[in-house]
Amino acid sequence: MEKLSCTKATTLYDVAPGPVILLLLGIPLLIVVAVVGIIIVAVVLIRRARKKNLEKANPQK
Amino acid sequence: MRLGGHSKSLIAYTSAHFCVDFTCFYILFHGFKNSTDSLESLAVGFLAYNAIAFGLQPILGFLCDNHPRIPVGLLGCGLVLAGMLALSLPWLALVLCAFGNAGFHIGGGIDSLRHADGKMARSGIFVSTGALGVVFGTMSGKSAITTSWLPFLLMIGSIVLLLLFTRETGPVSPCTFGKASDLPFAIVIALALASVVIRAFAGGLIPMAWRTSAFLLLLPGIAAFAGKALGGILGDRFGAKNVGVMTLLLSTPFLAFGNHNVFVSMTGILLFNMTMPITLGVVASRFPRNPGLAFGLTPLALLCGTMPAYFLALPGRVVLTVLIALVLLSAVFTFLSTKNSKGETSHGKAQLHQGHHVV
Repeated sequence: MEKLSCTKATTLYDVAPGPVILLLLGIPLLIVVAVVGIIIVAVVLIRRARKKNLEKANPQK
Repeated sequence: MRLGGHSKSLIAYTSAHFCVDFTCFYILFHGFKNSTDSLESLAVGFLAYNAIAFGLQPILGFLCDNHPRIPVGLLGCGLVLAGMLALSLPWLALVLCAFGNAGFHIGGGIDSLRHADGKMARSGIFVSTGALGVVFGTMSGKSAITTSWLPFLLMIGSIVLLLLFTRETGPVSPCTFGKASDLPFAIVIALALASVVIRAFAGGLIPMAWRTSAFLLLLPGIAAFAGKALGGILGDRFGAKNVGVMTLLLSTPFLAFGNHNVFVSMTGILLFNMTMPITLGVVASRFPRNPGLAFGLTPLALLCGTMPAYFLALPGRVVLTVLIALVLLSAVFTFLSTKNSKGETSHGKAQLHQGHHVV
């Protein structure tokens, strides 16, 4: 007699691996890249702010 | 204790800080967590929330420094309220409350630095209630009995408070803290922010096996609240460097050996959080005309410190050693980046005009 029951639960990954991989790997990777981008932008902003502060503190130069 | 002028705006922002963080964590745990049954997508959602809420703050802060009339705190509250109304669409609610949270923190942070009059107590008090909002919001979000009317009412109340008490009318004057050491600009900023990164990472390693009931889950937040508020007050009284370094050193044994004792652990968390307003004061000392950027850089450092926890877990046997080493390293960085200046207004302003603060 053919066995109809299955001991392994079917997950979303078995049915549609693409969206799951995108969600679980793509989004965190994107966030890491975005945070690295923000850090670079922050460094640029720090340099700009420092330059502006120096100019306002020493206007004669 | 002197908090500077504008005490009404401090009360308004401090109260609203509790409400905003309460509502954001209510949305995260009630709206978002209940809508997803996968632990992985839950982690991705929380990471996305942290990245937006913390990562955007330096950029928003810089923008608001250049355009000080933008009511960014009020706009932030409006976005969090919009997130509350969009609770049936969990991802939209999450993004709205993350953007709102970033905006609100920058509004409150600028207010707390700009009107501090050289004192760290004001920013310590402003940031302290966020810790309470997080733990109570998380508890309410997880609870089956809390309904959405509570965060909704809290947000309406916050908006009313900010509308009534936070209008910026006077001229924008530079911040005068004078808490940064005499090391070069880049080194001080790097040390102060690295100290925040380390503390954020170390905070996730603190062993707390005693958290076995709903009430006990609240206690770390209450200790963090008290630590942040007290840190600024004590820093003003006894010197930023003394308090920043001593509290970190003292916290080490309490954090490391409080795994099974609630009082030991609470003492450690309280001491550990006292350095927060001091680090903020150090960063703000080097950006007298950019309080928004100065405030925004610390949450970005916090994000950098918490992010590794999403991707890697330390083996249990090394956690304690790593925790002790990191707290001590943070104390060294605080020692190098901070000084004990009282930050008196007239002296600070005189120094500012001579350009000493921005060397």
